Formats: sequence, C-alpha cells, structure tokens
Amino acid sequence: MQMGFYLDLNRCTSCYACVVACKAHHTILEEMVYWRRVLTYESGTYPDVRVANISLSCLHCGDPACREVCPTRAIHKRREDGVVIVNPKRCIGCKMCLMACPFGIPQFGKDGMMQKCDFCLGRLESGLLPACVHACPSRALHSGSMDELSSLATRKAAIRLIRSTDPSFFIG
Amino acid sequence: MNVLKTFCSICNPFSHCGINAYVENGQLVGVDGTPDHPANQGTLCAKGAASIQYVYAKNRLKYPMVQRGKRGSKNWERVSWEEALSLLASRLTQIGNQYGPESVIFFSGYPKWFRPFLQRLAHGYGSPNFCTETSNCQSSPVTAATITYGYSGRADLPRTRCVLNWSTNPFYTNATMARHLFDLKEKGVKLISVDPRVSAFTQKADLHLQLRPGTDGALALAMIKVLIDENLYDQSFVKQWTVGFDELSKYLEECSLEWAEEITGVPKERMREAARLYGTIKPAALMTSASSTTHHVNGFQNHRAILLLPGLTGNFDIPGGNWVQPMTYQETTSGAPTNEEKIRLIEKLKDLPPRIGEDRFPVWCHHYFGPEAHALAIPFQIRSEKPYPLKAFVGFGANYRMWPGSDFFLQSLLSLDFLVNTDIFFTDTCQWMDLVLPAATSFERSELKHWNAKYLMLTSPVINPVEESRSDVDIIFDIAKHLGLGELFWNGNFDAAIDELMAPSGYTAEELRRYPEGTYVRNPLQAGYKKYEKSGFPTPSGKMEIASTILKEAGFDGLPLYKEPQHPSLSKDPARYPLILNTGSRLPMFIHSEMHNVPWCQELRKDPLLDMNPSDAAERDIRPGDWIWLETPRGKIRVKPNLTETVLRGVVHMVHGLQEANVNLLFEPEYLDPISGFPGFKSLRCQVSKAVE
Repeated sequence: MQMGFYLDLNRCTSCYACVVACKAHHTILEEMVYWRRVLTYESGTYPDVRVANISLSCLHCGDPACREVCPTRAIHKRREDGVVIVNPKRCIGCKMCLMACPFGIPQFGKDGMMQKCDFCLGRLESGLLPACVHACPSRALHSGSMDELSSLATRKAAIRLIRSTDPSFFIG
Repeated sequence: MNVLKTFCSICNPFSHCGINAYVENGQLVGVDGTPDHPANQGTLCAKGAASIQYVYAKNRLKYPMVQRGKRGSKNWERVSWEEALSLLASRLTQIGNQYGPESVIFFSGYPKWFRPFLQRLAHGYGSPNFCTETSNCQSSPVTAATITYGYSGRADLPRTRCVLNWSTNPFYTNATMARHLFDLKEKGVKLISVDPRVSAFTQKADLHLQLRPGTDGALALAMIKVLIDENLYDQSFVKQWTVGFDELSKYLEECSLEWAEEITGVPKERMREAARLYGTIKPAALMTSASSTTHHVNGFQNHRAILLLPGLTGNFDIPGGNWVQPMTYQETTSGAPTNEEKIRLIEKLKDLPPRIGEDRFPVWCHHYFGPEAHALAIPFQIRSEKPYPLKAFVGFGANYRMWPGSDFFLQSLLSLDFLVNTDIFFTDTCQWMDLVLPAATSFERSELKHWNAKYLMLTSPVINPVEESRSDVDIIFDIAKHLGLGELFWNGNFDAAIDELMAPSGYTAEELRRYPEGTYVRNPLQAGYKKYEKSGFPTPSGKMEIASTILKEAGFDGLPLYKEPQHPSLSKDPARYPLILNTGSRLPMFIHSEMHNVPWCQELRKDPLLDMNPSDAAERDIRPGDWIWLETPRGKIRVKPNLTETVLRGVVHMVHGLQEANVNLLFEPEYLDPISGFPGFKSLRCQVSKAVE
C-alpha cells in the first residue's frame, strides 16, 4: 500500500494552519525549518489577478530520487505504507537528497542532518490523521491510501464538472 | 498522557474551537482540534495550532507586580496577590470617595469571556464606565442594524443559495466557517464578494467587486438602484413594512451607475450583474464584517445602505436569508437563554451619571444594545474633564495601540492617577501601568461558553496555571471582595454565578461539569421566521426604517446618503498624499496585536510589510527589501514593501497591531465617524517614499 496526500487546490486558502500544526506536533523550534510549507503564487494584473495556494510536504514518492542518491542509505521507503523516512543516525548531512529532490523538500536545521515529513507515523499508529490534515480548516488537505485519494479526487472532479464549469461536454 | 477537553479562546468568540489537550504532569504537551466539537470538527487555525507556544510564551505575566517610581521606568516589584488587590481596592476607594466612582474606567480587550462580570464590577462599584474593544468593532454594524430593523439578521448559510459577502475574509478571521463555505460552493451556491483587495475569499468567489476603500455606500446604492429599476425588489414587503422608500427612490434618481462607477471604480456591468444575482437567486444571504465597512468616517451610513439589501429583496428573517435569532449570551445564538442582563447589572445604569461618550456619540450610546461607555471617547473626556473628570483605568487585556492616534490615547491615560491592567502577557501597554495582574489562558481556567451551534461547554482547568496567573473571573470576584462587594459576587463562588446565569435554561454548573466535552442545548429556543408579521419591527415606526427616525432626531440624514470617506480638514494637500491607506485586514496567524509573541506564528511574517501595487512602487523606485516610509499628515512609520497585485493601484494596505510599526499612529484621534465614533482606519490619504539611510 502507498499512503499519500491529496490537496484540493480549490479549497486551499494559504492559512498556514497545516504549517503550524506540523511544527507544533513535531516540536520543530528552529525558524525556517518546515516539514510542510505553504506557497502562494500570484499572476496577472488588475482586473485579472490570480493567486494559487499550495500546501506542500514530502510527497513520499514511489521511486524517491532522494533515496537513490543518498550515499549512506539513510533514506528508506517503508514497504507496509510507502512512507519515506530518514534515519538521522545514518545521515551525514551531505545534502545530495536536496539536490536530487524535484520539489526542494529536504530540510536542514542546526544539526546539519536532513529532516522532513514522516507522515506523522506516531499519530497514524494511534488512529489519528497527520497533524496537518487534522487541522486543515477548509478541508483542502487529505491523506490516505492512493486508492482512497484517487477515488476522492475523482468524486471531487465529477462534482466540479457537473456544478461549476458549464462544460462543453456531452455524456452519453 | 491524558487527553482532556477544553477550547481555544485566542480569536473572536464567533469561532473558538474545541481542543483535545494532551497533558503530562499538569503541563500541556500537545493539542488537536476536537473531532466531534460542532464548531471546528477537529480543525484548527494557525493560532490555535500554536497553543503550546501561546500558553508557555516567554512574556507570560508570572505574578502581580507594582511599578515603583515613574511609569515606564521598568522598576517593577513582585507583590503577592493579597498586596496587589489591597492596593487596587484602596486606590479605587480613595479615588471613588474623592472624585466619585464614575471617574474609574473599566475596560476589556481580548478575551471577552469575563465581560458580564467586569460590567457587574463596574456598575456594582458605582461607575457607568464599563467599555470594551467593541467601541471599535462589532458594535457599529450591530447598531446600524438595530436602527434599521430593530435587530440583526445573520446570514443563514446552511440554507442559502447565494452569499453576498461584503468585505469579510472568513478564511482568516473565522476559520471555523471555511469548510462550510467551500461545501456551499461545491453545492453550487453562488458567492459574490465585495472587497477592495484580492483576498483568499475573493479568489474563490464567482464575482468580485473590487471597490475603492470607503465607497461601499455608493456601491450598495447602485445595486439598490438596479434592483428597483429592474423590478427585482419585494414590492409587497416594501409597501407594508418599510418607511422611507419613496425618499430613497427620489435620492436614487441622482445616483446613476456611471456615478457609482466613477466613485467606486467598479465597472457598472459588474454592479448590475451582482445586483441581478443577489436579487434573483432566492434565498440570498448577506455576510458583513465587524469592521471593514464601518472603519470609515462615512462607515455607519455606508453600512446602513448595505443593510437595506436583505429587506428590499425579501431576504430578511427568512430561512437561507438574514435570519434573526435571539441572542442568548455574549452575542451568541446558542438557544439557551440566560440572565446575562441581570448579571451585568444593566438596570443600575439609570441611576448612574452619563457614560463616557454619551455626549459625543449619543446614537451609538443609546442604541447599541450593550450598553457600554464609548472607549474611543476616553481620551477626549480625560482631557476636557467634561462632564466630569476621569481618574483611574482598570483594564483587562487593554492595548493602547487599538486607538487611532495611539500616542494621544496613551498620553491621556498617563495623566490619570491610577492605572492597572490584567493580561496574559507582559505587553507594551502593561509597561505603562502602576499595577499589573497575571491572567490565565483558557487552558488554565474554568469558563462557560455558548456556541451558535446550540452547544455549551463549562470547562475545568486542564493544566496547572502558569506561575501565579489566575482566571480573570476569579480576579474580578476577588477585587469585588476587597471592595466590600463580595456578596454581590456570590462570595467568590464561580459555580454559584453560573447557576444564576444559566437558571432560565435550567442548567446548573454541577450538571454542565458532567459534560467536559460540552453538550448540545436541550430544547433550544426556536426563533421562527418573519417575526415582524406578528409584532412589527422593534423600531420607532414598527417598520424597517430605510429613512431612520433615530438618525433624523439626532440631527443626521435619515437616509444613508453617500458621502466621501475623507475628512476635508485632513485632505488639504491631496497631491502630497496621493495614495489611499487601507489598514487592518487580518493575517491568518495573528489576531490584532496577539500572537506576535508566538514564534511559530511570528516567523511566518517577520517584517512590517505594506501591501503595495507594483506600479505604485515602480513610480517611487521602490524595490522588494527596501525600507520605506508610510506617511500621513499625522506622522510616518518605517515599513517594507510587499509588492502585490492584490491591492489596487493607488491603494496601499497595512496590517495593524504591530508594536514596531503601529499604523494606528498615522490616524488623527478625531478621525471618527460622527454617528458611531468609529475610526477611519480603512481609508486615509497617505504617501509612500523610499527611506534614505
């Protein structure tokens, strides 16, 4: 099974609840170390200004580039749930993972070791959602198995197709 | 580790989220939103998620302290609670004997939960001057509604088909609404947004009217004109239940859509489209803000113009429209009636001298249902000593930066004989006090809370108090005891007070304590609809007052005529101050001056940033990272530009509440709406220039 996140971009408001919930749950006290970030992209000019909000953490890739390049095999992908975790005892802080990651996810605090989202494994074991998902006030962020998320995404897409866009599309 | 139930009270009481507190040895070690709490269903905002750093913030007030020597000298001495309260009581007694108890001001900022008891203390002591931050917040819109309809009808979102959101960003101010609003949108409910900025909400709306700040009245009138011209209004309601419609129609003859376009900057096609959507989709609900429309010197009448929309379209007091529900406790509609007015000793007011502000802002003072003294009038009465001198200030969560011309307010305060503030944190306001008292957070106290979702909670402390901090209500009860008013305060028994408060709905403290996670109200009051059909509107005419009797009698225009938001005296040099300064919109990780002391929130926005359109910046050779001056005729503050198209060209926006860059300093203390006494925080002429090192 592969666990993952699903972000409904239509519902993300850049409210940072996920960011703070993550730092609080993992007691990350260092500034500028974020296992989850919110990015806001603005485009266009008046009257057509667009703002996109994206909440982003480790994507727990099926074939993680970070693991591929790690010289000490400190990065491990769990067989049971596909969660990618880093073993701080093996990490030497070489930042190869940061160079390899297409999404700029790996974080480095004062100790120089790589740290990142661990999918709140401790919470999952006690039946709780990851801290970011649990907190999300607009319910933009979801977590689950890829199968669950895929059907959720499909359902949401179907609703949008029917309700919002007046699609030029016939279904027979 | 224990999981204990409480709630977060950092932000405004409309939200307040159920919390699962993870506690070890009396210490808070983690929080989650309570999944089955109706307010938040597990969710939390950035502020609530940072609760641990809030509770254990470095600048918590730890014990009572007295400032020896000069105010601001930081010569603090720790004293016992007994010494502190004896000092407080002896000073109040002495000042009361010498100048009359009305010379003592009792003020509440955030949080708000203890207010009924603080008002009881003020009136029990003999002062009419209980006042709160609502002199700057929800009370102006509420009074505008009271004058127009006799009561407020709130947006009945669960059942509406169309939301007209007039300048609120609930995603950042009431995060508990976020999931519901998105659910509405996914159901196909139309969202119309009026906002001078591009916000997280306007981005999700079907239609956004981006107006020049302070021109809300012109926009509302233009929409009303479309509704009337195109016969989209409820003729039978207007005929039977309104006064002033003909007067309004006559005035609207002067107001063309071109006129409104010129004033507001909103293309007339958009105004027409908004009016048609709002006028044809039934039911439609109007959402308004506590401040964004009324923080203008023309704000009260602008807000009245907006409030005409639900009535004229037949959306007032109907399901899915603007529904009037009885307020049961602290402006909530929990359905559980209380003895709040009795607890507040409101009836004593008639025997006491006039409240601060009754002379300057009589409409607000006599028609805000509070009733309270007007906090924004405090500095004027301190200086004039008319109608009587003021001598002492007893604050709970007071922050002088709330006032326009904050330094003017602080200087006024410093001329008083005795200053005390109770606060959770050792704020910069506390630095100027004679005595400070440490208050507990919601995690450390027992608190009764009502939610609009027909839900009640009487919490018990879930952690040990930080140092010597105490519950605000315990402090109030103890002050009362030291003033010889113990009996009036149930001899210090909080649960006895809750019993008396909750008696009308048949709850006792003992019973409520059996539900630590909270409980749904038994047999909540049923509000019904179109209550005016039975008893008329509770206004002087018994009807919806398009033209207000109360305003006419007070010497103001009865109709919400549109006037420009600038005071002529403050705009003498328009060329020197070409930009419009709009302030006070919220960021999601702060609320007013709060949470800037919490690292997880503060690190998300460290610089004092001024939102500025890139073209305005380019004209001034301003680049990201530059230090710049934001200047008005009253002064200037040093800030950095945040170049963004989310503000209109010609408009800059600054957040409020910052200690190092307090934008409220730039406003004249008299820059107030003459009806409500509300400051024009959301539109003032200004200039921005590069700060040369």
